[in-house]
Amino acid sequence: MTKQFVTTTVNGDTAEFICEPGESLLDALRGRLQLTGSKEGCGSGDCGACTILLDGEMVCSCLVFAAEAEGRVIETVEGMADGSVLHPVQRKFLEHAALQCGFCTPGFLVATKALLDHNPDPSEHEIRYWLAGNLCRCTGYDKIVRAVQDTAREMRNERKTA
Amino acid sequence: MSRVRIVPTGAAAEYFGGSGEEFDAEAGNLFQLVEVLDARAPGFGDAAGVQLVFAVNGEVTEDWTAPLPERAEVLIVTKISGG
Amino acid sequence: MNAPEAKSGFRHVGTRPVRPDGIDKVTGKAIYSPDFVAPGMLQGAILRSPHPHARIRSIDTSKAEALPGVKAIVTADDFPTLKSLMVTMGESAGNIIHVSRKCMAQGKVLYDGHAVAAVAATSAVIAAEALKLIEVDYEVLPHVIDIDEAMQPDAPLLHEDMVTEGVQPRPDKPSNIPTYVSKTKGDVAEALGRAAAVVEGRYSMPMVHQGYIEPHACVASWNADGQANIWCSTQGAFVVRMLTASVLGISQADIRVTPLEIGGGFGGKTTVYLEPVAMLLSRKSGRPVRLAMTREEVFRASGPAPGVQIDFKIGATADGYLLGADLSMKYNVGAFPGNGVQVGLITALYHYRFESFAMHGWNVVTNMPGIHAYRAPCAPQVNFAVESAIDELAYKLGIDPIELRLKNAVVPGDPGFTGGTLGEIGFVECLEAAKAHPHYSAPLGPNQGRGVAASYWINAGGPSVAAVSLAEDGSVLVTTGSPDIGGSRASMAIMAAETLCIPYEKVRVTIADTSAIGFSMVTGGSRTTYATGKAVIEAAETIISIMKARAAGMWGVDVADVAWGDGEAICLDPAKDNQRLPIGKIAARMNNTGGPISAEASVNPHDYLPAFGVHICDSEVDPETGQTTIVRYTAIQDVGRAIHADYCEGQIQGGAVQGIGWALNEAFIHDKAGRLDNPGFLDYRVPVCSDLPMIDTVMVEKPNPAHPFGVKGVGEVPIVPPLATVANAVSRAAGVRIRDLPLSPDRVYSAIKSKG
Repeated sequence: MTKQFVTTTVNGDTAEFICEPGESLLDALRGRLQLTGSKEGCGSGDCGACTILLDGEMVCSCLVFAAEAEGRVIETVEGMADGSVLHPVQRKFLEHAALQCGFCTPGFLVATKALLDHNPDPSEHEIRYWLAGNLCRCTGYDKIVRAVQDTAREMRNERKTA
Repeated sequence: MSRVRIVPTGAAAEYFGGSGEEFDAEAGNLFQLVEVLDARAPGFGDAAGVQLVFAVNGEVTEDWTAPLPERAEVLIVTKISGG
Repeated sequence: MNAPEAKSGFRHVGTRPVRPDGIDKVTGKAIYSPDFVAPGMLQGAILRSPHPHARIRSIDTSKAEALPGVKAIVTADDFPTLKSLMVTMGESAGNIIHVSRKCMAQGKVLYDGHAVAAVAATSAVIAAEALKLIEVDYEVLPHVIDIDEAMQPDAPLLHEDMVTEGVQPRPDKPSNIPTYVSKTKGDVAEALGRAAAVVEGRYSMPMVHQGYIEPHACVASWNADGQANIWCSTQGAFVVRMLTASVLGISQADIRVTPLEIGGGFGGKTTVYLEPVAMLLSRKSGRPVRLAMTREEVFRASGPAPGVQIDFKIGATADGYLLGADLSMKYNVGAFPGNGVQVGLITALYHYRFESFAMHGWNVVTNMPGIHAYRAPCAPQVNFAVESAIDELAYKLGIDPIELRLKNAVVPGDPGFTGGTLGEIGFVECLEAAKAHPHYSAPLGPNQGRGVAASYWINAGGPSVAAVSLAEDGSVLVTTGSPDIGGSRASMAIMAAETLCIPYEKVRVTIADTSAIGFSMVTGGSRTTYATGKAVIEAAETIISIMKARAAGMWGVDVADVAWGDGEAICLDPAKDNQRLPIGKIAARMNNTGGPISAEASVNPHDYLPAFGVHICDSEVDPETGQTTIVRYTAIQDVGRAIHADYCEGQIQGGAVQGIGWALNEAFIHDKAGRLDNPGFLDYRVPVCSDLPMIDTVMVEKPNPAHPFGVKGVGEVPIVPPLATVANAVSRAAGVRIRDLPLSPDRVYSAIKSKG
């Protein structure tokens, strides 16, 4: 099969890679672009560790073909911080100890960012259902939910004062 | 030399007839005791410390150089695993 | 964030600083095992058996070898023949032959997914293609999955040479029962005859899996001179070194194992499945080789937790004193003899003062993957039976379930699990805290029920090495060999900073490879903060002694006249006017006072104490569907003393939720052909965020007098009580006792319907 040449935008920069037709976007990000922040926990869209934003929409990158990235805009965990300044959700995850092993964390961070982009004031119920596609086996989710609530609170306050 | 009471349990009992019956042995420390027990049940020495641990008077004892108290009870138990 | 902040007398212990490895883990920079790349690395893949039980007549790899891009193929023929040898893995022992056979089937395949061959190729696509070209001729054998069926005399035999240990006289025929154990105290029949109330039942649950999100992966590079590097995700780099060297018959010093960041383990990453195979592929190809499991491979071919079938009978006096317990346990240990029922025996009944008991237990091998450790391994299963029955007993006698437990709870000075007596345990304190918690007296809604259960875990000590050294500016480096699976770098930094009386941020912690520091046992058994912590504290104390001597030299006073406090040496010689030398000044001059300041501590402590936990759960059962919702959950635990309060709570919350998943959803399901039917997260359903409420934690702190800061092990005991806690809550909500897990909607619905 002919390999595909893909031009895309990743975290604001143009990125180009050659991939197999059947290759997942996750494999291309990790293998071709060395962006190993997105993780593979299942390869079947069940664990959410590979969550990225594709044209602003939250997707499991293991379920997207790499070739589909042509001309699209991709955001991964590596692009969340503004230089060395962490995104509020990254900072709050640390402050609340919302990670233990940290393997699921990139997926949770991207999913949380997507949630708060859509809904700046989610209820606990909304947070829990939005994040239900991201598996964490270490924390029992308690500290994750609290970190998300606290992030939302801070970002709302910042908007008010801005 | 102290005379101690050997209480083999679980896998340890296998080496001494399997019934778990207690018996007496004489040794100054656990190194000597392992030698004595290995002579009695060949192969015991290899399992001791790997598969089996000793509790001397109820305290798990990893320092085999410590003198064994006279009349001590030496319980031999299977090592168990944590996650 | 609901625990007390730094306690009086401590500056760091009990606080919640940000973990030192935090930024790497929220920015995607941290390197986990599937992320690691070595120059020139090949991609490996493993061919796995589609049959649960079959003899391998032959394997033809010639077509695969001819595929361009294939650089090496390995089968059982490439593994050295091993003599039966027991080796220490984690804290338990295993036979090295079984470790080897879990890496690669030898002669027979024993479970669906058993490895039969491996390939290394220039790409993952070619490696996958090559697997399809390997021809394996199987003679399919009858298989057995069920415990009772496997125990039958005419059952298909997994191991023709296996006879039951622990039975007198020694059986002359092989069987699927590797182990029988028993322990009795007093006359149970007589005691139960006097009981005012007796509860009797059969309890069961299938195998479950640890479900770590990061699949197993490693890269191995084995050079022609015999020296090798392994990069992997593991709870213990030293156990990887020892097992790989033993399986391959090579020198341990020739293997340098670098532990990468680990994406969860829960006991499941204290052994090897891939590393010896990757080593052999690397030796054959002359290049580094990556092997990584898919999620399906993790479920089919790693080490789950045993399923059980337990018969339990228990009786008490009218006022609730436990008289006798008759316990019979069968643990399904999968394809190889393992540590199953041996642990059940010592984690079943020792939290209560039974007048008498009789315990009998059997391990049973079946055509499923061999079990491995899963958080308080083998304790939750038997605790489910015991604590369900205790609950029923309390109900029957009309006694509050916590009250009944309080009447029988062991206290310091009661007999311990290995003879001797129990030390400063906090069981009664946990029960009292549960009774006093507002959750326990809160009103319940319709279709809701409340359950409680209590349990213990022995915890562990064992060998650890830690090194502490000063940088020239007085900042401090701590190095250990204990992989950080849930925040232990932070705990080590807190303990070092506390000992040295310096800021937390002045201490940085590194997890070293096996060639850079001396031996440490695995991160497991709830031992790390306790045992490796002791090594860190001891090394830090040595650093203080050295710094005092150096300061004495700088001042020209006797070392006895130097004290340490607030991160500086204090001169007690009145002539010197209370002078002070901060750590930075001592460090800056260390090469003028005798050379680098560095210390290593090597410890092997066993003065750990068991952990106790009491959980409370409110469940709501939908009578129309049998669906259970956890509406409120509280976990109370004696932690000794919390070093990092957040990560202590996190262990309790995470353990509780794994236990909730075990109770409600999780199960290995095999089809009639003996194949695992649910090898993915869609069908092996671990709890998700929307399944749960907040998990309230209460940390009871009854310090361990043998640890400088009072640490007891925390990580494992929280998975033990949830099974019975949830089952007790569901039984109350549904109005019918259910003794089989998981409490899936269909099972609960049928139970509700069958009660009429």
